[in-house]
Amino acid sequence: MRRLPARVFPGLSSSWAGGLVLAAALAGLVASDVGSDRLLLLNLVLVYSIFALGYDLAFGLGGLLSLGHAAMFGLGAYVLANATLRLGWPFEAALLAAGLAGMLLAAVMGAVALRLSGIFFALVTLAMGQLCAILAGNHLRGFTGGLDGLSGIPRPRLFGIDFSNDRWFLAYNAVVFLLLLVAAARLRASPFGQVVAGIRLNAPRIEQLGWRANRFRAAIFAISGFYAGIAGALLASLLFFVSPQVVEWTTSGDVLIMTVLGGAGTLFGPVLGVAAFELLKDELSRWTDRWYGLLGLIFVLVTIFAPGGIAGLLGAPTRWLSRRRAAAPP
Amino acid sequence: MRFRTMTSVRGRVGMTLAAALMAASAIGRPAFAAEPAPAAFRIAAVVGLSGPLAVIGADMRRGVELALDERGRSINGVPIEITWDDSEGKPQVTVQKAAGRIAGGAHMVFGEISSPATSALSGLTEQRGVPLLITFAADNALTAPGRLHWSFRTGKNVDATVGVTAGFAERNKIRRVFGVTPDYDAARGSWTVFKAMAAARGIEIVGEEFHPTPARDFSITLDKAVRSGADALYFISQGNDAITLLKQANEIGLKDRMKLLAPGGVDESVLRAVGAAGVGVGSSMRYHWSEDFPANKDFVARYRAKYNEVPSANAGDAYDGMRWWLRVVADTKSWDKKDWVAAMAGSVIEDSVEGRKVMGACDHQARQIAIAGVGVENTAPDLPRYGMVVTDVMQPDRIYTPCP
Amino acid sequence: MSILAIGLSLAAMLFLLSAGLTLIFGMLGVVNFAHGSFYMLGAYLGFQLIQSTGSFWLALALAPLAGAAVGTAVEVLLLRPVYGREHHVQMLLTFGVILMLEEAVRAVWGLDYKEVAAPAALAVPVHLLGATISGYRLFLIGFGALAAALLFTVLERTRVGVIVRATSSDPEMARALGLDVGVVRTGVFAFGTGLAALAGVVTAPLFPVELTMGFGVIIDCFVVVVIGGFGSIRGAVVASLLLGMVRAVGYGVAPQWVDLLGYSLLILVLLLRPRGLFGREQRLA
Repeated sequence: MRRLPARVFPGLSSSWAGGLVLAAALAGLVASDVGSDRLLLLNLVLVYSIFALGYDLAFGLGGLLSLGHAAMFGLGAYVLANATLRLGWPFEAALLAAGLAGMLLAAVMGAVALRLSGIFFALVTLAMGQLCAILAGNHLRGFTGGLDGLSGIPRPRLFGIDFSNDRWFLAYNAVVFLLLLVAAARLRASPFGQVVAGIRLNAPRIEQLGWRANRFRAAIFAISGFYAGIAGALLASLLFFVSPQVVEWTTSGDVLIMTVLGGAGTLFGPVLGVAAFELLKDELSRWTDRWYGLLGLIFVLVTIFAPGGIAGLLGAPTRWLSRRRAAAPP
Repeated sequence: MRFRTMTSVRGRVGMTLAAALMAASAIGRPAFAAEPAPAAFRIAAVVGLSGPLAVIGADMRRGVELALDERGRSINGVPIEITWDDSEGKPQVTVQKAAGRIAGGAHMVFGEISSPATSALSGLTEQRGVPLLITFAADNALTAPGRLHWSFRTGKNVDATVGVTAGFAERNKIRRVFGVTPDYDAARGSWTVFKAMAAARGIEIVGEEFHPTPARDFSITLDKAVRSGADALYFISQGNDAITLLKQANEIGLKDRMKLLAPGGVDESVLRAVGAAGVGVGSSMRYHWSEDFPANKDFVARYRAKYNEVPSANAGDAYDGMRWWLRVVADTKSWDKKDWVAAMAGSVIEDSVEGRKVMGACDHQARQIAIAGVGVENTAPDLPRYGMVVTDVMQPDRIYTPCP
Repeated sequence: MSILAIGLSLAAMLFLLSAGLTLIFGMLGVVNFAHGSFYMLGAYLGFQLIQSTGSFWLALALAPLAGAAVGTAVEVLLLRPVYGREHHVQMLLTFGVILMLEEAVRAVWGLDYKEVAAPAALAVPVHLLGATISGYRLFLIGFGALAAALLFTVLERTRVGVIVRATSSDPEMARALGLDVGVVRTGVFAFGTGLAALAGVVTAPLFPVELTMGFGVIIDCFVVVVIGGFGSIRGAVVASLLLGMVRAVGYGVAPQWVDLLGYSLLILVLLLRPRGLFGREQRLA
């Protein structure tokens, strides 16, 4: 199987250039003088970017429209909370456990949901997500603390650094994010990733070539669950708090919006979408009381006029250029 | 899409563990023996300003702003800067916004409305070593003795609200109570408190129902209440749930068969939502504009001048708390938060809008009177159409155990 | 007996809520998450009409029309460009509509709760076989049944219904036969949103009227629509009855488990019979 370069922006062909730029930008932000209140926002963007990265693996790459990812996200958060608060595990062990828990839950959900496709798949993931939300709020109070949630969740402690400082935690999150970004990029470029993409585009053909489509779908879904679990755990640590609210369908809707807004199916698209979404909400609410409606208008306009999201818009000039080049006489 | 309705409002055991990390709030700030005066005294207010709790948040805001205006919006020569963040009624957002403000140098936090949100907020402020002023949330556990070092509640707790309601029940010769409780810990805790108080007064509990929140339909529960032969329906349900219950109780004319009673679920916003269905419903209140104290008359006059209406319970509550707290802070003449906290614990205010209040040094709960009343239709043109009148007052010594 | 009556009233409310969604979903293939917002809009419009005209019945008649008008505008301006696109695109669009509608309602009516009361003639308790039920709920049961009968008749037995059904199952053919598919689609969408608004007005006396009221019901609607089958009125009736009775029994016996049961039922139906009890084969997957 030929190794194809990962597509990051439609039009750009190197993920490494993009990744290095991003890493440099993050390092700059951590070191810079950016105000401490912005630090929280940046941390949020990183955490949700991890969530969206994973979500897009299932949705953009795999073509699986899931409305139940909040369940994995929330499970990761609760696993970290319980592991650190009640079991006294070191943070990194708890973080890994959170990711694995998310992966496991995604595997179970996938096993059930992948009997269906399209809108039915989406609806059954929605229902399963809601089931988890009810369990979290009501029936599993010992684990989740019920409607009141769990507070006092710690930050990591590594090499003597206490990450309670938001700036240090930003560096920590940046490292985790970059690692997972590289992993996602390599996954997309790998033979496995290509098969998954192929399944989205033409499943019968892939099956004819000898691959079992549902096995690959289940795998990519589980991987996206890992990302969701990690992201949930980091959020819980960021806010020192988790409540069943993170498991509601609105959280699943949020990650879908952010991914589509940024550009589904691209590597950096979801990250852009998260950044745009969080920044928009933050900025708009400073300017006007009517920011809700404005945000809605932006969604609508993006959906109608920019279906490739921000990444699509950014890639447009390059695509236009390559079309011109192709049309020009030799 | 962060608009799930949060209707839980009262009481829950705060799960913050005793050994809270007290991290430095910013890097690079050397520890001075005496803190220098800041450029501005920053108050981070985080309440629900959208969603179903929005009216409560908006009223709290009015009350607090009036307390600031009264001081000329400055404290010891330093201007006061207050930021209002909308938590959308969600604890997750509450913590997020507050954390951002604390990181941005807030000197204190004000909030929240629902007990889960307030509990989460106090978890954060304990971690970050920043004072928190609580006026609304009533859960006993928020100020259990020795729990929290940085938070103070100037408003009423469950012992007070339930206590005065039990007294109201006794005075109205209620003998058999059917209880309706939302199914989360704080509410169950509140119900347990009532049951004990009822037993002490010879009131029998003839039924209890626990409903998930948000609740969609009460018709089955209300039917059971009717069949139970109770002479009062006691409901702890709050906000949207309270409105649904009252509306649906009204459609079967429940008020004609038994008294409707709540330890605080009924306030001006609920009455406005249910209209005539709220007349005659008994509830404890956090504050009422008619209370006869000089500071209150003063406050009501100024509130009316600014907003053209009488202050609601949430506005008065918030005003009173902020006024007391700012006065204490100003009197310390210090900019060290630890001095403020030390001064507030055990502080006494003689001229609050409800008379004398004493802050308990052991649990950071203000000892004060508790009041209860019934819903009425007002005819006076300058009052809202539906409101409450005070019928019962309970003195603090009947409610609180003194601090050791 | 009271459980039966209450179950029927819950079913009536669920049906009125879901009928519009099943039509839109079934006939247009559009995932309309904004359905709850039109429900909310209907309740507010009803409140306003009662304030302005003093008559509940007038509000009941006019609010759905106003709701349908808003729906028409949304369909023509916003939905048309995304027909035939993938479902997630439509979802994102309808999320945007939710936000815009909520902002608009907030701008007009403000943040506080609105009071909507049942007309005095109906707000009387009725004692029926040992149960106490309100007159308004009995009215709701009748109203729901009437609405179901009317909808069914229109869709199955009239020419308008034939046109709608034809357009939805084979738009190319319909166009070839001279039907204006665009107009039919707009009409169906407007009708569906009008129904949602109607549900909002008629249930407003029983529930709090506030900006987020749509969120509590949208999931319920999806449950009914999926179990009953997209596009099927008969299915919506049966599913509403099922869910309503399960709820009525559940609230009395084990309130903590009612919601779990509802979602489990939904998952089961999706796994065993995705097109629902009465749904047709759809090109939705």
